[in-house]
Amino acid sequence: MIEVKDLHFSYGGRPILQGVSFTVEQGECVAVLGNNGAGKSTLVTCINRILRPQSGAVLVDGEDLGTMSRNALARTVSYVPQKNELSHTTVYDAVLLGRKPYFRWGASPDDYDVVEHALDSVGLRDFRLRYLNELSGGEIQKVMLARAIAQEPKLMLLDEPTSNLDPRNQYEAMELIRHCAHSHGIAVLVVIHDLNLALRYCDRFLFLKDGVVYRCGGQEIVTEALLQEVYGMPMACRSVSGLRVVIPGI
Amino acid sequence: MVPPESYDRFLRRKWLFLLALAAALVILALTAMTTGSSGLSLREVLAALAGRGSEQTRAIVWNVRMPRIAAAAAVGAALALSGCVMQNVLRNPLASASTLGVSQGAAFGAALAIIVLDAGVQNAANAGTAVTISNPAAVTVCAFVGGLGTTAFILAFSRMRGSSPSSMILAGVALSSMFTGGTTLLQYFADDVQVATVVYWTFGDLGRPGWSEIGLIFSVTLAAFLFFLWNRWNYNALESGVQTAKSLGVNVDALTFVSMALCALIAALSVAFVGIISFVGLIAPHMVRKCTGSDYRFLIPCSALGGSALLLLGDLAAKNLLSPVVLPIGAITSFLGAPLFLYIVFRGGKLR
Repeated sequence: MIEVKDLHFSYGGRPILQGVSFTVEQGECVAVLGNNGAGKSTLVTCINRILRPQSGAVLVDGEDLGTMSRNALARTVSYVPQKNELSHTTVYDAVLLGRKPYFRWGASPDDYDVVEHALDSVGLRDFRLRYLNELSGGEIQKVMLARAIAQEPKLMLLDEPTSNLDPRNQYEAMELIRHCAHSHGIAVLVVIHDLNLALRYCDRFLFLKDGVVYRCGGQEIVTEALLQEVYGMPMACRSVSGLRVVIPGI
Repeated sequence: MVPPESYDRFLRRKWLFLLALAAALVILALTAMTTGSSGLSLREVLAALAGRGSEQTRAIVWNVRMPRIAAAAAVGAALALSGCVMQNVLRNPLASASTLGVSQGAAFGAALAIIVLDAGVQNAANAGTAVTISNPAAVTVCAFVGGLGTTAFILAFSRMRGSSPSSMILAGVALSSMFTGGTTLLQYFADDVQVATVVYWTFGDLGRPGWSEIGLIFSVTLAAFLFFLWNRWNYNALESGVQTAKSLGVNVDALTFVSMALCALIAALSVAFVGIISFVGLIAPHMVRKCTGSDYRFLIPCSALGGSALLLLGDLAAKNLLSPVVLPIGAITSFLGAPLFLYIVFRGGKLR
């Protein structure tokens, strides 16, 4: 279980997180929602210590991430940032990098094994020796997911993994993310703007507003009233073919 | 499970490139060994290396040609390594000792020693060179302090203000401009002999260091090389961005700091002993990058070999273009390196 306890973070005197607390169960996919500037990305990067929160703690199965070495942390939490810097690297090497926290001098047979499985799970087995800067956006996102999977984490943090993808790739990526959570038992925290994708693929919804958790819960909490309060604009909630959909602006 | 066959083959190609570079380096060294005013054949050189042959041949090979070749190899490797690692940790393809003020700082240090501390005098009796430096130790120490001081200042600044890689680059550019101005000011108030000595020093001369100096450059560079190689996966992680590197367990701040300090150390040491040799540190890593990609497992050793080979090639050109005149090596590396670099850049598409 992942427990986030009372995280505070301010940047240059401007408070961004003002006591964020919540929990995520193993095997659960939680969407982090809220307006731009609500602190979603900050929250995610405070959890894996890319940013140092001023106070608060993150516990994974009772272990405090704040006291772990960077390598131990990387074996527990994996992260896919919003923007990827693409180097002239092959897909295989990019995914192998996910095993770096486990290396002593270099990759062991086990590491190659994990990389192969990770490549299989995103369907990029035949892309091994393609260079990252020759891939499409959807393929790159899958490589990044494969790397995150190769880290064999307990918690996976994804910052807007679908923002630059076409509809088909968005659904494929979210399908994959949900699969990671449900069948590998990884706790997944995904920052996402597309409410419909979130409603379709995530188990719980965490709304951030003004640096605190505004509401957190299952589909039932996502109501027209709540969306109006969080996003400050009217949104209609409808049911289409048994799926809950949100239509902004009405 | 072992790595898949295709990946294995892919890695083998990179190993092959590494071996090819090493072979090229050996061939260049042997060529350099057989070029010179006393016209030794390869057979004579090999005999002398094995400790046979005439006293005179042995003396030429061991005391004249070998030190020069060893100096070129050690300095080339040091400059290329420092460029290769600086380009990574500063996340900028233009980073190198000569673009970040190490060379300019060293030149200022040398000028200070020659002009203010009066460490250089003209010696017309010396047939080989127009000027000699009366107190080489003082010049070397001042150049070293100047070169290292530049980076030390930048690093201290970045520690204090927590500045980003790009501001470190800008600080380097600013400092190198300041030192260039400082050197010009010193020269303005110096007499013409001193100015000649400073200019001569900045030309760069691979014949300057003796065996003990070469040993020093070599051992410090080797230590830095081992540190860089140990961190090769960390550099690979940094290639995907600072955030990703942190999430993969890299202590980015510490790695940047120590890497920059080591890069500055080996570059400043080289420049202090042989003078300003620009461009090798910038282009050698980019040249080998065409074959190794951004994979620091191969990029680090290949850059070192490539830098050595490039500087040896430069020295061969310097000795042979207008033989018997030996052209200044620092000018040759820039003059011949730039067109070569442009050719590679434009033929191979964008810089990676």
